[in-house]
Amino acid sequence: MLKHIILIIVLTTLVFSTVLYGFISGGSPIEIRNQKLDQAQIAKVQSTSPIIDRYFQTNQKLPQTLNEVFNSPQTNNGLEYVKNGDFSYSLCANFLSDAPKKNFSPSDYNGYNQKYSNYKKGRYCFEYSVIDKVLSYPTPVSIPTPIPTPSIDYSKNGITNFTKDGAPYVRIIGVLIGSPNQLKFSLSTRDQQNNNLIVTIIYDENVISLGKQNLPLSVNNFFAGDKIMIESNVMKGQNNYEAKSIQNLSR
Amino acid sequence: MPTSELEMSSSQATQFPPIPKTNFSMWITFQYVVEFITLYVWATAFGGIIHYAIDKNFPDLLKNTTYTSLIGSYIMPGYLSALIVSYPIFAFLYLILKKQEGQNSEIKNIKIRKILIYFTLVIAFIILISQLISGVFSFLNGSASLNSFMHILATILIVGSIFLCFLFSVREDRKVNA
Repeated sequence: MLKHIILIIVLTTLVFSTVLYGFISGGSPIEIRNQKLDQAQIAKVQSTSPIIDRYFQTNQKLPQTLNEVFNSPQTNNGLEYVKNGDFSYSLCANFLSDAPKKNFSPSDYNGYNQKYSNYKKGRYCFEYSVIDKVLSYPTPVSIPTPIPTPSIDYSKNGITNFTKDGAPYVRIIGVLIGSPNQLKFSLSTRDQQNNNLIVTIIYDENVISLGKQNLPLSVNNFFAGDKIMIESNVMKGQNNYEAKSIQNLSR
Repeated sequence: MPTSELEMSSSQATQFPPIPKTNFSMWITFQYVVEFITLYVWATAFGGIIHYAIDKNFPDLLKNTTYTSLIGSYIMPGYLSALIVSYPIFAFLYLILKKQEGQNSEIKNIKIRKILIYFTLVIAFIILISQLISGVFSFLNGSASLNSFMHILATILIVGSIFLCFLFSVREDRKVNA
């Protein structure tokens, strides 16, 4: 009988150590619960952001408070909305713990999952921009047909001037001659006070970069022969800008 | 002595009384079944935690670590709860039944006990053989690593201990019955 008791004592020690290891490595039940509550907050943030984006698309302005978006004030419980500017806002929430460390798979490198995996304990804000939603503004009655311009050699330094026609939309297609992997653009207009000018760079039918004037943009993975479309959009019908230029700063 | 009396006495000498058969209650059968079920549960959970620890501390470059850690983080609480619940029941029943076997060796001849022991031996043997085959296969396949070696070692240690334990038990039973 003694040997059986010894066996059970040895087994119990082993099992106890394993359970202890499991608690240490997997986190205590309180930590796990906190993480689950934080994930619920993340889900709330993720579901609120598209609603605000839709509000912007519909009303052409960001809401002042979340109550403008939601009919019921209880819907935004736990979330704080901060309007940072005409085209940006933050959604803040209180987190009970830091985001768990996670090894990202290649599919996560689009930045979406990383954005929601870097929160810290306490109050943390997620920044959003609705600048890309400008594209879905009502289309002007007459849109100039995009005419491919002579190839724009982006491998050269310098300012490339684009046609000025005073219309709300100017679309220019350029074909890359060089084979740069990365292009850096800075956008500028002569009218420095015109904050309503939005310049969008479209590549392969996707918006790859956009910004207001004088904001540096960085675009990766360009290759020779790639076609890019540069579109300017003046909001609220203003057409008093004069010109814009795109400068390749990669060299 | 008359012949008839002699015949009578010889026939009486050869008529042994029937060996008394001990009838054990179903309660002992139930205890054995529960003991073996809890053994399977806690051994699986114990092995699961050890495999998780191996993946965490000796990661394999060929494995998707994200997937492994994700699976581990979901299953780990399950393993822990299975271990916490099933192990005490097993330990308690193991000691109770061993005590009863010591007091009455006839208990060792209960059919369900033998069936469960041999069933466990067969299953353990199949797992051991399959682990050894997969070890040799991964070596020949070029996917052998410290991680896979540790996994095989852990399984062999856990299942091998159970296998040896019951093998000795069977041998002891045979000695007693002989």
